[in-house]
This record gives sequence, structure tokens and C-alpha cells, in this order.
Amino acid sequence: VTRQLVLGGAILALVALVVWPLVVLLGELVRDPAALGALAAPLNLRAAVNTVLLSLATLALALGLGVPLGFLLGRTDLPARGFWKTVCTAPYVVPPYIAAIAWITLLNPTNGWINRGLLGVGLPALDVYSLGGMAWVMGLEATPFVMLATADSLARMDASLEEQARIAGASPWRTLRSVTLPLALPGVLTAASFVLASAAASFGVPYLLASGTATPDHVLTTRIYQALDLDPSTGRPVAVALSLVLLALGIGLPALLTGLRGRRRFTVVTGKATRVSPFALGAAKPLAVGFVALFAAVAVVLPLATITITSLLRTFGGGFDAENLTLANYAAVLGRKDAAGALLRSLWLAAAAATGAVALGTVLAWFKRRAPPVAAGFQPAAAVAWLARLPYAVPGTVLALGLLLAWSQEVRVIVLERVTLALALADTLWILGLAYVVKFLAFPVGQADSGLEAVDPSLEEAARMSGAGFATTLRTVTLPLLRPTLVAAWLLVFVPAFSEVTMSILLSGPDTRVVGTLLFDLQTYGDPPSAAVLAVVVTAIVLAGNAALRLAAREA
Amino acid sequence: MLWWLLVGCRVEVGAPEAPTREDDGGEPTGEVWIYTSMYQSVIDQVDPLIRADHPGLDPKWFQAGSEKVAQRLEAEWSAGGSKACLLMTSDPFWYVELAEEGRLAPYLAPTVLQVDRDLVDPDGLWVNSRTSLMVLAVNGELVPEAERPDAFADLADPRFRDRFSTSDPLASGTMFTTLAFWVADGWGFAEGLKKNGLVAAGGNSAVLSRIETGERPVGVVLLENVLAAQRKGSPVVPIYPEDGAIVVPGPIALTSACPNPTAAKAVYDFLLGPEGQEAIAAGDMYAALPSAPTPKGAKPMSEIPTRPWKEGFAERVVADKAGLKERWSSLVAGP
Repeated sequence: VTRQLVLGGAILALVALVVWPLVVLLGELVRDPAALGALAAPLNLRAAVNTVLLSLATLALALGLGVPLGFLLGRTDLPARGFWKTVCTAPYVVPPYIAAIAWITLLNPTNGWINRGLLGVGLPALDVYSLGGMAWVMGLEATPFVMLATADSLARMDASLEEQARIAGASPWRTLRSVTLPLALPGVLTAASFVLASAAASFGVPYLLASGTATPDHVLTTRIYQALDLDPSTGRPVAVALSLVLLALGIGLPALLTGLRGRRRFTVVTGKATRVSPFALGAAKPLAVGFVALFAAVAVVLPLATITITSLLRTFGGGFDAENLTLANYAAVLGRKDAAGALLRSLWLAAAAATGAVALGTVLAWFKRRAPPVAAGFQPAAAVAWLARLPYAVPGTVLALGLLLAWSQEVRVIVLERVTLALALADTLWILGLAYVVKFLAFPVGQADSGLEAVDPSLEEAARMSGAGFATTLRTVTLPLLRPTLVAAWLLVFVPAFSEVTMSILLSGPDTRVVGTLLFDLQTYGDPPSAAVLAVVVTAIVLAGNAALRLAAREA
Repeated sequence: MLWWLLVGCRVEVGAPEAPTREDDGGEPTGEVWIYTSMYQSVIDQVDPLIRADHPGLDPKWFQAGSEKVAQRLEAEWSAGGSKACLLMTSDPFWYVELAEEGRLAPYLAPTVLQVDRDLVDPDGLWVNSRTSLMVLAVNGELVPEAERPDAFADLADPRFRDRFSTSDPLASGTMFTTLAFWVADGWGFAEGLKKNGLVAAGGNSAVLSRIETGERPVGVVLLENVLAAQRKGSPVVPIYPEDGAIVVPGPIALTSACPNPTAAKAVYDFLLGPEGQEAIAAGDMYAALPSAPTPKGAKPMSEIPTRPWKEGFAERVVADKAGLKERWSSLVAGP
């Protein structure tokens, strides 16, 4: 009975939060089918092609860096692995548009800090205002995601498989190539499909980098932004039509990846696990350390230092002499009446949203993996888990409008003419928190799904046979095995929700301003140094929280 | 869903409260929602003054960029209705559209006769409450006085090739207004800009950043952004173009579906009254009432050459908005 209640609740929540807003958005197209014509406009076609190119380039960079990093940090005897792992996760923590601002400062073709050096020694300048520039910024941002997925899969695998390969006479490298890395495949592919979907749906970086030149490279999300901003009502169906293409890409591109993997099964955590022994790097150790350190320097130190220096500038572009350095920006931003409230509000709102999303996502993934199919080939739970991933491929602005269309009205139920129950979500923290859950639900669903795939159902069955009920099995067997995965999923929701901008500016009311609205304010009405101050503060808070969480997880 | 119903819910005991009040001309009380793009600092200044004038009145401000305010309100209307009573953003064309759609209610504040007649809707559906100016600006350290542009027209001159930028007229309402004036008598100037290496991207703060860093040391930007930057010590210098700064009116309007019109009118009167207008001037914008002071560091409006809003101009632009956007898109995407 508990089992049915939990499943029913989860499906109800999914319908109310995900399906209903998406259906309402589709209703916009029914209202104005002519908007579909926008799909044939040459500019939009080019934007769609650019979106695909950008997603693939981002993925290529993230895989090229993330898989080796994940292997080095997850399975080898590299020195100070814990330290490097924390450092290399940092790019994910910096809000993407802030990273973009840092890279514009470094790499704009006219006077970027790096480009000045390049031009100084007679080399051509690098142009950040291009698809390549976008892929660079977004690829670095996505690398930790692939890295953690690789490291996690490798750390959780059954070492006896490797031992058997060694006993059969395979060399360490051969074992690595034909046993270890293939076993990491499901985790890496899950991460890869997220990178693709998130690159296609991302707005902040392309918005800043798509059009800094005379001939802008637009992607679908920047076209959607233009459609909505000048025509708030007639532009909405157009935005929905373009979002459909994004949805198709968000589903289609990852499906290609799943096709790569075929029908092989990857159950590697059984009841008989042995300790995983680290892979000896031997003579390659200095090279490996160099690679990790180089990544840290380019992807972490460089942009973070740029943002920090920017936050200290009296005037942006005024040079770095002592006269132009000041702490006044910090006093001005943190002294704002709304700053402390917004930071605190975002902090617990993101924590609540992360907890809610992980709870809902785990339940959905569990039923996908463990519920028996209703009819041959049809498993409703699988469809449900699939639905939960859709919102991630929809741009934040469009999703927020869907939530407004679906849930901005007060729902009143009058009982016995005396008592009124009014469900009023608009301008409350609830609509913000729910928006974050909807948008980022894909992370816990995907993480728990690949986590559960690796756990042999026989473990749960054993518990059931010993007389444990559904709840007890979940609590004593499944969840403990999934704990590292779920902690990672929690962080994956918490971090972007903490500094989310696009949905927050549409959904927050006068008493519910958050970090995102503050950042937007500083960026629009303030100046880059002020926005950089908030970025430094946000990054510091998340890094500190991340470190604390890791420490707590280690001690527990 | 239960956990969320329980907490997102409000329970009222007693006879169901009427959601909409009549305009009874009595004392303004209760909640009134203002959707605005005014700076938070201006809101922080006027909110306590309104509360002091009208105890019992509770102004609620939804503040975001003009475009976001419009998106949210249109979505709420599509969903069934909005509690928004007063609108105060800076996209004049939107108000012309809203008036045509019957979304606005006529109202004349006591001070309305002092507002520039060209910027008052003849039916009283909207009135200008503040004026922003689009001007030229340069980085004073990088562009010596003799080399600065005097007029928008100079930007098409080879002297400024690849050295100037504007915001994106497809995303920023102020730049769209500017473009509408530029192409009112033909597209020659816009094409000249394109040939001269135009970058039209981001909002006004992006243009300002490009000026400050020297990435593009000349720009078309809102005067209020320049004034605020100068106060922080930025080397940016405003230039009032000889061929006419672009006046971007920020209308105020009452919605026809306002649930609390008595309170809304009280706030309307305040914002268009002397105290409200003074707060607006302190926010670096020109007030609509001539009696309010000129923004600090700016020239008085009467000394600045501006492009006039002729009768029927706004309606013509609204009627051909799609065509204008289309033509601009293909111009920018072209060679």
C-alpha cells in the first residue's frame, strides 16, 4: 500500500508540475498554428544548425577532458586526488554567464587580456564571439559533470571483474581498455546526454557570446529570447514552436548516444563486491599531474581570478593600478537592502528544491527500474521517468511562462459557503521552488536511474525475502547503496538553482527576490564589477558548502 | 502534491471575500499591484512616502525589465487574469497596443495637463510619467575631444568604422524605439551603419561595458546609464547628438481589470505628482512634470535637440512592427 501511495503521489506531482504546464504551452500553438511557420524562416533554420553544432562541440570538449580527468581522479594512484577533485569541480559552480563575462574580458578580439598578450608577440587574436568561443566556455563548464560521472562509475564497480581479466593474462592497459572503461560507459553516456540537452537549451552563454560581432551566430535560445522580448503576446506561440525543435534535439541527440550503447547490460554492483585497487600510473605520473594541473589553471584559476579582479575594479576597463582597485563594490552590493535577504532566500530555496527534486526523482527512477511492465513492451513507469526529463530541454523563459500560464491563477474552493480554500502560488516562494524542481528534475531522475541500473535487484529481493517491507528495503538497502549518487544529484540541482536567473526574474514577486533577480539587476542597471562581486560571493558560498558536504559525507 | 497543497494554501473563514472592489471614491486601502521597470532604488524611495500619505494602502511592486514585465503580464492575462493595476514601463509602443486591445482604463491625474501633450494618449489611457534619452557616449580617455562624433549620422562615417556599438533592437525596447526613429524616413542610415561594422548586441549596460573597456569606445546608450557610471568614476562621456536625441517615454497606465481602482488611482496621482516625479529625477531620468529638477549631471531638456513624437507615429510603428523587425534581421544577417 505504501508503495502505491508513493507512486501515485509522484505521478500526480509529475502531472501537475511537468505535464500540465507543457500541455498549456502546446495550447499556445493550437491558438496560433501560424506560428509554426517560424520554423521555416532561414534565420531560425540556421540557428537550429548552430544549436546542433554547438551541442556537439561542447560535448566533444567535455568528453575529451572529462573522461581522462575522471579516470585519473577516480581510479589511479595520482597524488592528492581529493584536492584535485574539489578543484576540478569548481567550473560547474561558477554561474555560466559569469564565466562568459570572464572569458569576454580575457578573449574579446579587440582588447581581451589574453589577446593583448597574443597580439603583443605577433600572434593572431582569439575570438570568443563565435560558436567556438561558446563551445569553449560551455565545454569547460560541463567537464566536471563528465569527470564526476566517470570517476563515480569507476569507483563503484566490482573489482573482481578486473581481477578476472588480469588472471586471464590481460595486461593492466588491456584490462583498462576492455574491462574498466566499458564498465564506466553507462554513467558517462548519461552525463553526455545531459551535456547535449543542457548545451542546446542554454541561454546565458550564447546570449553574451552570440552577437558581439557584426555577423552574429544565433542559436535557438537567443532567437526565442528575441521573439519574446519584442512581442510579449504574439511572440509566445513562436517561442513555443522554436522550443519544440529544442525538445526534439534534447531527446534526439541523447537517443543517438543510447543507440551507441546497444542493449548490453551493465549491472556491476552485486552483493559480493571486493575492494577496488587503484591503477598504478608509473612513469606516466608526472604527465598525469601536469594534465590535471593545466586543466585547473585554465578552467578554474584563470576565470575565477578574472572575476575576482573585475570585482575589485573601480571602473571596468580602467586598468589594474592600485588607484583603480577598491573594495567599495563589495560595500555597495552587500550593503543593499535586499542583498542579505536574497542570498538567504536562494540558499534555502535551492536546498529545498534540491531535496524535493531528489526525492521525486528517486521514486520515479526506482519505479522505472523495478516496476514490472504492465503489458508486453509497455512500462508506464519508464514513460513517466522520460517525461520528467523534458523540462530540462525547454529554455527557462519558456518554462517559466508555462508555469505562469498553468499556475498563476488563484484556485478557490468554497466549502459550505463559509470557508474558502485559496491556492495562490503566484508571487510566493512556492512557485519559484517548484520551478527549480521542474527544471532540474532531470538530474536526480537520470542519476538515480543509472545508479539503480548498476545495483543488482537481487540485493533488494534478498531484503524482501527476509521479511522487510517496501519502506524498510528502500531505507536499509537501496538508499544506502545510492547515497553517493544521490548526494551528487542533490548538488547538481542545488548549484544551478542557487543562482538561477531566467525563470527567477519572471516568477519572483516583491517579497521573494532571490540571487538571480539581484544579479540581473546588477547586470542591467549596475556594472560588470558589481555583478562580479555577487558572482564571487555566490561562488564562495557554493564552494564552501560543497567542501562541507564532502567532509560530512566522509565522516558519516 | 499534498505537501505542497498544504502549504501553498490559504484558508479564509467567513463569507467568501469579493476579489474585486468597486471604485467607491472612498479612502484608498488594501493591496495594489504595480508592475514596473523603475529602478529598485526609486521604488525604495517612493514606497514609504506613499504609505505615509495613505495608511492602510499596501503597494506591491513587481519590478523587472520592461520586456519581462510585459511577458509576465501577457501570460497572466492568457491564464485568466492579473492583479496588476498600474503599469509603468518604458516601451511606449506596448501601451498603444494595450490601448487598442481594451486592456487599459482611462484616467486623468490632477497633474496631467502639465505633461507634454505629444506624450499623452488623447483618450487618457496612458500618460508619460518619465523620459529616458538615447544619446551618444564615448570613452573620454580613448577618444580625444576633436575625434568625437557630434551626431548619430557620424557613426556611418569611416572615422568610426568598427569602433561603435548599439544595443540589440530586437531585444531592448529603448533601442527598438531608436531604430524606429532612424528608419522613419528610409533605411539608408541603418544600411550605412551595417556597412561601417555595426555591432548591435545586448542591452544598454553591454554597450556601456564595451565603451569602458575600449572594445568599442563609441556607443548609442541611455543617458541614465552614462550618468550613473560617471558618478562611479567611469571615463564615459555623454554627447547629445545634433541630429536629435531619441526620447523614450515611460508611460503610466491603469488597467481596465484592476481589482482595486481606488487605491490604484491614489498611487497613480502620487507617481505623477511632485514627490513621485522628484524621486524619478533622482533616478537619473527626466521627470514628466516640468517643475521637477533636471537629473544631476544632465543638460536641461529644453537645451537638447530631440526627435519629436509626431501624432500617429507610434500607431504607424506598431502597425508595421513585424516588418521592421524582419527587415532589421535580414540587414544584420546580410554581408
